[in-house]
Amino acid sequence: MNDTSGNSGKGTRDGRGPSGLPEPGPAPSTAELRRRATSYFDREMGPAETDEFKARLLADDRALREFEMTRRAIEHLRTGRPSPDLTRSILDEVERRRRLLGVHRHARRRRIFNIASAAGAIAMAVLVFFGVDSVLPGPGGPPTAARGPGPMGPLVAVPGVADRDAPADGALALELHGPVDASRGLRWDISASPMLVGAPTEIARGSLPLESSSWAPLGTSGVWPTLFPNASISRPPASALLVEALKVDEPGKAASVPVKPAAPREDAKPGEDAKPDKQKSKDQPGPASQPKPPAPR
Amino acid sequence: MDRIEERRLIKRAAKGDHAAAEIFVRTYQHSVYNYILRMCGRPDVAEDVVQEAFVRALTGLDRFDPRFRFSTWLFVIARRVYLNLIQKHRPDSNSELVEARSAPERLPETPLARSEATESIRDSLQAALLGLPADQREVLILFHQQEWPIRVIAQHLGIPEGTVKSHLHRGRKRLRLLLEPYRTRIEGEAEVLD
Repeated sequence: MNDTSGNSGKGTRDGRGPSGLPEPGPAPSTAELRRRATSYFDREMGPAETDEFKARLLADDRALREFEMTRRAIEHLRTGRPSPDLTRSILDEVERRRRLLGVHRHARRRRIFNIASAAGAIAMAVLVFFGVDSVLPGPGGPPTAARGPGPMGPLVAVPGVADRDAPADGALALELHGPVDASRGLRWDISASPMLVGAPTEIARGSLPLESSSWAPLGTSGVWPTLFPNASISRPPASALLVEALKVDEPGKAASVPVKPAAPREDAKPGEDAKPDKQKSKDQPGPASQPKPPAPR
Repeated sequence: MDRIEERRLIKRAAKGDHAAAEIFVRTYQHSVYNYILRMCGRPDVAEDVVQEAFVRALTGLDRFDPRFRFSTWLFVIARRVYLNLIQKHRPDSNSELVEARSAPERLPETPLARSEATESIRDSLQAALLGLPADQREVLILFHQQEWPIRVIAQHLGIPEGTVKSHLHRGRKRLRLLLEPYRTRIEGEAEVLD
């Protein structure tokens, strides 16, 4: 009888008689033999107990038959053999899949790089659009000058700032001819004296054009209150007075560029102070006495 | 293969060393094949599952957790591949298993299984094995074929050790009952073999 439980008949001789066979005793019932068979198949039986159990089993046909059936079924579990070329087949497939994965990984890395590049470009564009000068320090130092009425960096002429325009409602605007390099620190000092004033109605909406060749309205909405939270904006005559375009550049090249007031609009309503009035404008109170604008949106 | 040798081979295989991969395949293919073969009863399916399991293991060695043995990991992968396969193709490729699950106390009655059952004693044994519920069959295979301890089987299957023992005892008993119709044949062969 083969030992399929993994128990060995060698070792201890406990429970054996002088002849080496198990000591005879009262014959166990079939139920008891079944219980022992369970213990045997569970690999819980010691060598001596195994020998004794097998000896008892021979005396009980029914228990022996059940035991043999179970043993053969368990033996059957171990009989399978794969085809001889399975090893080669597996290794070939592993190699093929590795090559495929290598190609896919390369393609995926390339795709990730492209996505990252696109995302970076978009991020840069957003930064530039919303005022990169407040994020990136320029060569003149950190971009703190534009925050509030405090001292600003040296003033330089902004290349291309030549004229102004009068958009709708007589708001003040600058016309920029040619691109302006934002990374060098474009600043609009609207809190300095003389300060920026605007139209009777809300100054034209718009944002700071960093690279533009068209007119650029300055306004109390859009990004301006965000860029200049400490700026005082009053309700001046329709025509603006003066604004200084400042650019932080290399030391020694600082200059400010005054901007002419907007021309009066022909379709201005009667009673409105649509005409440019320099004298009146100059009488405007300074920033210290200006009422604060509402909190920016 | 001891753990140190295994880790060394894993490092080599992860770098694409063909020889290291071959050692793993030659060492474990028989045991994984037998495990799956007795689970599904079809050599072609077993070979497909074994191949896929090895491919996944050897191409994913960078995800291997060194706290475990490679063989344990491989068996987990093979089991998952097999379960996915029978989920996907249950009505076609494993009809006898479905039949057996729906009526676990009787033998599979599909023409294929019946013809196989009359062919040889091994087919009879396999048919009886397929007549067991899958959880009992798997526990029997892991315990008696792979000779895993009950504790390891419990971890592998994610069930308590008591449940493993229960499956083991019930599975053996049910297997014996399922083999009863073939008893004469089996005993006759046993006499010839003995």
